Amino acid sequence: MGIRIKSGSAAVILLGGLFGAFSHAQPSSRASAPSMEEYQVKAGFVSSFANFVEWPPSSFHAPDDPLTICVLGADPFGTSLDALTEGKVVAGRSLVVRRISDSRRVGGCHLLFVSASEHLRLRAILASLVGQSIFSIGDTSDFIAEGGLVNLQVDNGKVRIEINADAARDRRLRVSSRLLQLARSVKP
Amino acid sequence: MITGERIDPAGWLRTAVMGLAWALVASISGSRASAQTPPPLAGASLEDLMKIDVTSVSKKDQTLSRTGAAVFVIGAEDIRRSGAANIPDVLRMAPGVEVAQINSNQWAVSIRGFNAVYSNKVLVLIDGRSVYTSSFSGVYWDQVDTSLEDIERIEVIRGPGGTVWGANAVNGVINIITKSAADTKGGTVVAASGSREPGQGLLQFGGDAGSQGAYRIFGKYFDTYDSPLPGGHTAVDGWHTSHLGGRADWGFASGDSVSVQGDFFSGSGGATSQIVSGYPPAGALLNTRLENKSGDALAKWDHKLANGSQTTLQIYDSRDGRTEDGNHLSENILDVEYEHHLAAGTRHDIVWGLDYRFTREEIDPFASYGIQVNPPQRSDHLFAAFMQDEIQLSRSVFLTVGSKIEHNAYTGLELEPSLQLVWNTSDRQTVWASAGRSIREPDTLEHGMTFDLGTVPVPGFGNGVLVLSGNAHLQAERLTDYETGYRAQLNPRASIDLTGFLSFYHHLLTTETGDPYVSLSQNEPELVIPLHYENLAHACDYGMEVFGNWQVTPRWKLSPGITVLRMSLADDPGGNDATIVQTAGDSPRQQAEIRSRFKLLRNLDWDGSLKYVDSLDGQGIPAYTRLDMRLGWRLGEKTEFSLSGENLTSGGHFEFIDRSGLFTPSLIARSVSGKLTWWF
Repeated sequence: MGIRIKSGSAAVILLGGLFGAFSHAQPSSRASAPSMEEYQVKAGFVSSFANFVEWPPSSFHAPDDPLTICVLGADPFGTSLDALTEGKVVAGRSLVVRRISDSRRVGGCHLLFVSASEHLRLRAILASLVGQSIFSIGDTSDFIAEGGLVNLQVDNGKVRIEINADAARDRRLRVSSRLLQLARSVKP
Repeated sequence: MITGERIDPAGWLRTAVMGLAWALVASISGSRASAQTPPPLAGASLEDLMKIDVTSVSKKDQTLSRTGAAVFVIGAEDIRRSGAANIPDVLRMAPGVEVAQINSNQWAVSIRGFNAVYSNKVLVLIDGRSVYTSSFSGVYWDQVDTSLEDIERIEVIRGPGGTVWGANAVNGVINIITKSAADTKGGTVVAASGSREPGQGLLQFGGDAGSQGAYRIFGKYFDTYDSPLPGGHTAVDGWHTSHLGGRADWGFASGDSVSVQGDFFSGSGGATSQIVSGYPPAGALLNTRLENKSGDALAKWDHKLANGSQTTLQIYDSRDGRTEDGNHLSENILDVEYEHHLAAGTRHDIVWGLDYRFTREEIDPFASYGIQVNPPQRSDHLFAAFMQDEIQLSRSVFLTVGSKIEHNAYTGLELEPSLQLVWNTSDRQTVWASAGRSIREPDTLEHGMTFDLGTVPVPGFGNGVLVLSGNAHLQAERLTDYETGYRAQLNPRASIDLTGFLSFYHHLLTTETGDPYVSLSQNEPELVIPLHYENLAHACDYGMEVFGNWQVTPRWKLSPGITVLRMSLADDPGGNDATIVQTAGDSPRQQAEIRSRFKLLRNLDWDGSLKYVDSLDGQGIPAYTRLDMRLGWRLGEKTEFSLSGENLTSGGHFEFIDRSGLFTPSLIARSVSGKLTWWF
């Protein structure tokens, strides 16, 4: 019995010690793809879309008006979206994050992330955006089918971009060719 | 028997705490250094972002933010990295759940107490199909054989679930949800072998079914060795299963989606049980056969209406035949469910539904064992309707009210209402409180059986026979439950979930002793000691479950959990069942665990869990600590090899003693296994 307990204790200490030692090891080389929390990565996508879309002048009141990213419904990003947009300037405009719970308050939003919590109301929400130059982003499987512009789908552990380019054009949004190349074009 | 292998729990905990403390100090000092640096993704290009492997922790946490119930979700990644080979072992990670292995093919699995080999207060569903056996009130875990590779998630809901799920969801619901066929295209081959299982294998293939659908078909084989008994003996309980099945899913642009699935399952093996008798060879071991054949088919149609609401129609048929100790039981269920989910106005999110279930049961006893069931065959109808409304009271406060109304063949009309209040105090914090009621229906055996339990010598008389009879006037067991909980994303890397509950049970099933009488039906006079079922006990239980997730570094995640349960049971006035009080001793008062998931290298995972389970005082089983570990090595995109060790610190101990004597407890020993998974 004594031997068994001793070897067991050694295993635990080894476990703790090794975990501790390795936790210092940060992914250092660019070649190794680190694994990150899904919504941290998706926050990266949402904030960088601002670089790849051009809004019509009527979307802004003044040349230095901020570019507003809205999150509709339960916010899945935690603090990561705020951290990524803080102090960032795109085409002379600062980035602002707004959280809204009602699709009637989308006035002034340029990018709109529709949370999965709104899944049931999705069709009605997206229908209400028709005619407005709002770049809508979602991550539920039927987001484009229901009228959304960009869908962030996790496929094989990586985030893939799906885009409905025609619908973006209809909303007078110019999407850069680089984004169109990286995205998979999807028709509803 | 057990002492030779006993582990000193205090010593163990001390070592464990020291090891963990060391790890924590090391990692906190590491994370402080990195807190100064800007967020890791600032400046990342779209191309970079598309290369990152993502893990989904907060997706489920987020959808939970409006849930006013105690929920724990086990994801596909959790299952894969647990190294477990069967579903009961996977469930060990869920707080509030009691999992104890009895022998090679039997488990006792329960939520919040009342554990037994056929624990009767937890409902288990696979893709919406109930695998709770209503003739026996329990789940045959040896037949729950869903391929672990195909499970998308397992939702473990603690507390009463009657409002949505209906009868028998008393202490909780375990929902096993498999992946859509669209997510399992291509081939999968799994081959594993270890010290507990000589072999298990899965061969699966999936592809497109037309332009809008996908399918998969699989064949699965599982084999376990006989388990060890104390004193160098071996039970005859090896278990051999084969399973064929498939699933197909279609999604149409119209907003409709259709899913069909089916299974054939066959299992055979043995059970070692103990003879209950006052005469020699009392306590002798008896080896019996255990055989099962079952099949099921399920179809589900989701339809989205123009107004955004959604309807679901589900139909399934399941057939189950089981031979246990010479008794043959068969059960056929045909179930039709309709559900409509709609948003009414801007404040109401309503789900309502209808359910019809036809059950046909037949018990064909092996004559010499003295079980009679009256009637031996029965067909029952169950009708139910439910409605639940989530009302948005303010931007952050949601009230959910609902009830199920159900008519069953044994106790007639039953009502199972519930009330939940959810307050999202901020985007990242939720406080909730709930009250609810659930019932358990009596079953065929409790209703109409007569069973000669055994013979005991009566001094000065001769033979005494214990005869247990069912009771046609039983009521449903009833739970009224109050809970409160708190859930928070403390920072992007840490979350915590706490639940406290207070549960009142009424009309608990008891075995009452009647006045002995002399029977002359045999050659010599016998003294019959009659026992029969009544609903003459109540209980007051309380406890809490706390768990968290901590992404210590991008490569290392820790998930600790603590479960505390206090049960106090008592006979009602007029009740006389001395064993009911002992039920509390079938469940551990404390459980604690910590799971670690560590990415050693880009393609090498090292995962482990350490779990402490308090003593089962009613069974004389001392507390034990269980260490499971897994090393997973990914060779390229298509192949993974893993090495798992279960129960690594124990040479063999009992986890549970089945009170019914149907299954003699075996020693649960250390085991190691290797597994190769190949995707093509």
